[in-house]
Amino acid sequence: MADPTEKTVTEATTNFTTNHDQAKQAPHKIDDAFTKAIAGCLAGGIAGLVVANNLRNKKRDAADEIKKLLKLLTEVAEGINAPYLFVQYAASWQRVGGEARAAYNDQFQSELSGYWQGPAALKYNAIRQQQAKSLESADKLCDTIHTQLLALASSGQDFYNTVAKEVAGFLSKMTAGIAKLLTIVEAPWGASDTIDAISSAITAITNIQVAVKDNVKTQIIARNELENAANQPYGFPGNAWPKASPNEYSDATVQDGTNSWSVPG
Amino acid sequence: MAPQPDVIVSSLEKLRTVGHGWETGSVHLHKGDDMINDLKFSRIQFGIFQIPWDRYTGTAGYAQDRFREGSTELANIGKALAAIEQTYEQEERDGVHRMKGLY
Repeated sequence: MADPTEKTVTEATTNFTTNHDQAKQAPHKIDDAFTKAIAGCLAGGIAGLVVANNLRNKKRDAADEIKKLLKLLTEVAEGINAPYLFVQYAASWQRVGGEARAAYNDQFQSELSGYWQGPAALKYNAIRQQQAKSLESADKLCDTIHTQLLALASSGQDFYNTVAKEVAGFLSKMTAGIAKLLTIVEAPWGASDTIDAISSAITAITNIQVAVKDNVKTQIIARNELENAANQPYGFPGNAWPKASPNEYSDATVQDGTNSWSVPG
Repeated sequence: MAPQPDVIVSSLEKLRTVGHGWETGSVHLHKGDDMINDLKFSRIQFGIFQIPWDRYTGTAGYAQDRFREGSTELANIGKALAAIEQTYEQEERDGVHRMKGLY
């Protein structure tokens, strides 16, 4: 699957926000429709009274389920820009890794064998190899963070697309239910559409909760990967950048009669 | 056997170039360290992704620490090589290698 981009995650979160905003109107619309329907039934005599009582129960059920759905939507709307930021930050981590690669390349030809010899020159070459390994690890660490942020962004994109779709399904059923409620005096069986709307809210809640669980799995994997990336990676013994120990090879003077550094004759 | 003067010159030049490479490498790591400052998230910004927030924060900090340490170590190597080059060149100019019987 293609990596998420700023555009694709924005589409997902915008769809969610649009449908969420419409869903916020649901309690008022449903309440209004039921109130009108009940008033119409009460004007219809004894038979209408029975239908009105039934509608009162349905009204309460609908209000309860919509309240639960809206509460869930409010929870998942928290920090909705996170997937967008993950995509942006993932790209930034690639740029940070680029600095480590640039540093690696700056020292790529730092081998001094053939130009210099002696115990200090040998020591320098050993240190040089350690530092090169650390530079590679620094890049790899950034790459891991980049990959995990993209995985989270992708999961977020899927999640908000799923929630938007579920809410759209509910809104569609709700609109049909309201339309039928307003004709209920003439056709009492129209109440079945309001039942569909209620069950649609329940279905949406259930499916969103499943999507939350899927998203949580990705989060747990990302947490573990990020934890592992910072646990003794190659090149960082003791979780630290190895010391360059210049005092072990910086003695270039020959005043004492020894030459730790010498040019091959 | 004493090295030829042009070999000494090229060896010193190599040391200068390599030392400079470590110094510029250090600058790159320092830049990376700075860039990570802007890559911290608040818990709120992580939205529904609360589970990995603390690990992300920890690992970003870990990376920043390594970049900072690496920048210091690379600079230390660069400085050491520059000092070695200067010492060797000065003593060669003063004839110390010959006087000490090293050639």
